[in-house]
Amino acid sequence: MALQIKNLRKSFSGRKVLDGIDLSVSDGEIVFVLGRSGTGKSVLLKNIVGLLSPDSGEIWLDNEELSKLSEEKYFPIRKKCGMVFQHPALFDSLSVFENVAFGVRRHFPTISDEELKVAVSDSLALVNLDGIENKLPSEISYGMQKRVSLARTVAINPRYLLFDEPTTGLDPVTTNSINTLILNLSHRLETTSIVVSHDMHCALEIGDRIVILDQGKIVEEGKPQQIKNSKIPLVKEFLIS
Amino acid sequence: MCKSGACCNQHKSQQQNSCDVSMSVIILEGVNVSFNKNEPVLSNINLAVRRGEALVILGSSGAGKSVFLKTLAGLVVPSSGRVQIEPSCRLGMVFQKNALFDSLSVSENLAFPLRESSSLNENEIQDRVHDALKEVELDQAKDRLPHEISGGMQKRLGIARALILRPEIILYDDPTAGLDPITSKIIVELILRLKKEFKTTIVAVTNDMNRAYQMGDRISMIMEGSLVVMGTPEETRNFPDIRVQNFIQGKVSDGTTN
Repeated sequence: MALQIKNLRKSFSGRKVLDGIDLSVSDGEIVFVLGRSGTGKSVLLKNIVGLLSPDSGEIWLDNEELSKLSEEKYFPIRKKCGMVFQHPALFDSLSVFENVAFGVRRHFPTISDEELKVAVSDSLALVNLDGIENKLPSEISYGMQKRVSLARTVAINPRYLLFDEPTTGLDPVTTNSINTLILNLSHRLETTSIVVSHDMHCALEIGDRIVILDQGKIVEEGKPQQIKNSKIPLVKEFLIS
Repeated sequence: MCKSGACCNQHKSQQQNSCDVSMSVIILEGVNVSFNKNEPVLSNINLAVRRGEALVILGSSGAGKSVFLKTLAGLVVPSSGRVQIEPSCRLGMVFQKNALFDSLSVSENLAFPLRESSSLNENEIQDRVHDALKEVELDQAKDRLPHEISGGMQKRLGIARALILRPEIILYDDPTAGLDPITSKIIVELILRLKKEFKTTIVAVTNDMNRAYQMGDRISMIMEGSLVVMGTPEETRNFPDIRVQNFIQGKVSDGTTN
């Protein structure tokens, strides 16, 4: 197992947000985590990358237990786990090139200018963007900004890609192109991906496995075909909404 | 100042709700909007919205949907053409991010517009707030601050606040963005129930086809600056324009799914 989460619990001021999560993800798998707003999906991702730490439970990533690591020891973990936020979260005042280069410089301080250029243009090519290196985020469309944020994440060669609602609020065309990118990137870069989402349609289309969270617990889990036939009312409602 | 009628709440709240039932309450004639002379955002928009109708506006990001709503609200002034809002109709707007007052409780957020632009006394204000809270099922949360309630509750509060001055026309800017599909469906059910109850006219922007079909009496789309009205959900599904079909099926324009 590439990632294994055991009995993970996290509360905020007495409210149990994650209430005993057990989840295993295999190498190369694309797992979708679906659930209503406020069921702890983002909290789960943040626990994996150490932006939050669990109250109890274990998180094993490549045979290393993360839940008690210090902030300092988390740095190499974050290099392995590329996180794509819901909003592009680009630096407004930096060009597209500098946005993608920023993380590369931090994670590979000795990289030469030539190598950096190659890394940035390769990453942008992966998300089908070229010729916009000198533009500012405000000069490109929102869909392009989303793709730049993807390029920025893959530029540091993560083994894991964690997506927090990558298509929320996007129009159907942009949604489709982002979903296709998630699928293609995962395959080409051989990453293991966890996608937190509201989009059942896309989960059924590109997910290897789908996990449904409700009130901090996993209430259903399976391959797309199994999810389609689920008897759980929440899952059925998700399928028709 | 008051060309579009959107900024006249002060005088209009004195009047009774006398919005004419039989006619179009929003009429646009040859409306052009541009922020930069070479690239018009909206060009030659002609549209009539009937009283009590829900018109949905689709369009890819950057197509000008929000600019269109702001033009109706009088927040953006067209470079040419006419925006005519039936003078007896008041306009309310629900913003995508709700734009709630962070430091005010749920019930204070609702009382604010009444204190600012109505002549109601404190008792009447409290009554109206109480009714509004019940209407959107937030009575249990009335003393909480916006950040202490969920996204769906914040959205319901934004809707209740826009409705509290009893506007005859409500503009919704992507009312379900960021909400899960089950919550989204419930929000649109609420929007439709309130529309029926108060006989409001709705113009709503959305990116979510399921919500568009659920909400729209008519559905339209902004493409390359023009507004194309497809019609009912059924007519929209069968609309012959390839650009519309590509959009609703999420295909890029060359017919592949990229």
